[in-house]
Amino acid sequence: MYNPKIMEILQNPQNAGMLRGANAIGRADSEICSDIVKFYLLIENGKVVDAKFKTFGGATLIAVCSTTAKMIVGMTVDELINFNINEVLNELGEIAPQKDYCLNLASLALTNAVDDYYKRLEKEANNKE
Amino acid sequence: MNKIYLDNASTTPLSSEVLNEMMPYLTSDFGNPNSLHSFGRQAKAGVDLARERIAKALGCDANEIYFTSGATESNNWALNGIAKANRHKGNHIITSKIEHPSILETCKKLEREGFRVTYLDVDETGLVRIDQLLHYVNADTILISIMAANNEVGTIQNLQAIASIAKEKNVIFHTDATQAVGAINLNVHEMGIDAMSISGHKLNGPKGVGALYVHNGVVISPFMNGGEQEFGLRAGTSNVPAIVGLGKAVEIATRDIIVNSKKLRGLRDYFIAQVGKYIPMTHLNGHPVQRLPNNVNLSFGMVEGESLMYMLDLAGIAVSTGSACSSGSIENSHVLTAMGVSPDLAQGAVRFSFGKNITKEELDFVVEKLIECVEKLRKISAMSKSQVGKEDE
Repeated sequence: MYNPKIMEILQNPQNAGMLRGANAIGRADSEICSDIVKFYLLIENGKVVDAKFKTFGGATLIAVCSTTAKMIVGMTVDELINFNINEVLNELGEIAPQKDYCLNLASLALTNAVDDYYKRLEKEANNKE
Repeated sequence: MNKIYLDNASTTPLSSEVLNEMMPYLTSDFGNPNSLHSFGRQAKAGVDLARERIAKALGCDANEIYFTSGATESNNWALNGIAKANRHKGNHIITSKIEHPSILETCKKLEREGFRVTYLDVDETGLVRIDQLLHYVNADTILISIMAANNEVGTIQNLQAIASIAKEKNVIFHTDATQAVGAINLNVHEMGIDAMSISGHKLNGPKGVGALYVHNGVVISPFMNGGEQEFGLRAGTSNVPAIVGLGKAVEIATRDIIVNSKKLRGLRDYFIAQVGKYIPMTHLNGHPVQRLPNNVNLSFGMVEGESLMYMLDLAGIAVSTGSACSSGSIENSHVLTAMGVSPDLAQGAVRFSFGKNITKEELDFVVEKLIECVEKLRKISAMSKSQVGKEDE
């Protein structure tokens, strides 16, 4: 399935690359192929102030990650936890059914980023004690 | 935007010389070659000429050429037809792990019907392990089917050696020469090839037509029943314009083989050198020398093939990628996997297959765009340099 929106993002992905100072980093590796997703989030005062991504994957995965990173900027951590990855499709339009796994991979990487954030908070708290 | 088509291993444009040859049979000379009247005789003359042209180009007799709908049909027919007609002699077939699906799937079907099939390994360059062939061939072996040149990585097999082994062991040897006709010299009688599949649209000929060469004396069961066409073995009204086109395309491909091969080999090696010079972590898949003159198959470390293919497409350059990740399964190339290419590099493999009219200037443009696209994708790659080419991370 050819989705022009995906091709547009592929040419000029937003929120792509490393984010210096990120304090919530999550990675997800596909169990069936070599695809990888990494999210780098900067969370300040309980809010995502910046988000970037890196991937090893096809055009759909790049588009899903770029759209996700854009959408989550401005969300509170609670909103991020409750974020339904399928909302990405409202921006992106339809994706090929065999590319559904891209949503799961991005969602897992986000969950891992939130985990990382709480682990860092816990570590910080322990250090203060 | 000027478009550059580098997917000629998938299909090629119809040459004007071929189209001119076909035109009368699409218009005025529309007869059924089986009809006895003048219209029929005219159409039959076209089919006969095509058969003679192909026989001359391949070094065989005209009555050894059977027209089909393409190489997939030729491969299906060769394996099914030869295996079943020779079952009284044995039950064992030998093929390789890097064959086209039309061979591999037919072998699986034959296995379900009780045949025993050995799938030979290949080395890291894609060459079939001749030592394994010698080891596995036995008195029960009735058929060896090894492709002449691989469609993905372009590796050219040691056909002469395989044919000699088959002859010595009294086994029928079939080769899928879909990619090889017009690229390497194939004189089937001289080389001792017993059956060979060819396709029209890979040679600047029409789609939907191919041929199967079967050496006189090799017994093969019919592919389709219900007519006397193709010496009673492949029934159905002949696709006359396409057959005429195939005949002309094969004639041109073999006529121009020296000039085209020399030119393409030079441009192929230039392209590989340029890419290697400007793009680090480039891996050439397939044999460095013993490969089709128009085939370059590359993996770029940290870069996924499908996204690179689409980025090049957006720049007007058509290439192909053999691997894609999809829900529930990875469709990694069975060829690259058999060659031992790591999963990430296999998923990153991109095939550039040149047409005979490709120019150096066009390839320079492709290199330029390739540098840009690879750089862009590496910037956002989640894979680190140290991960590239590792079996499991």
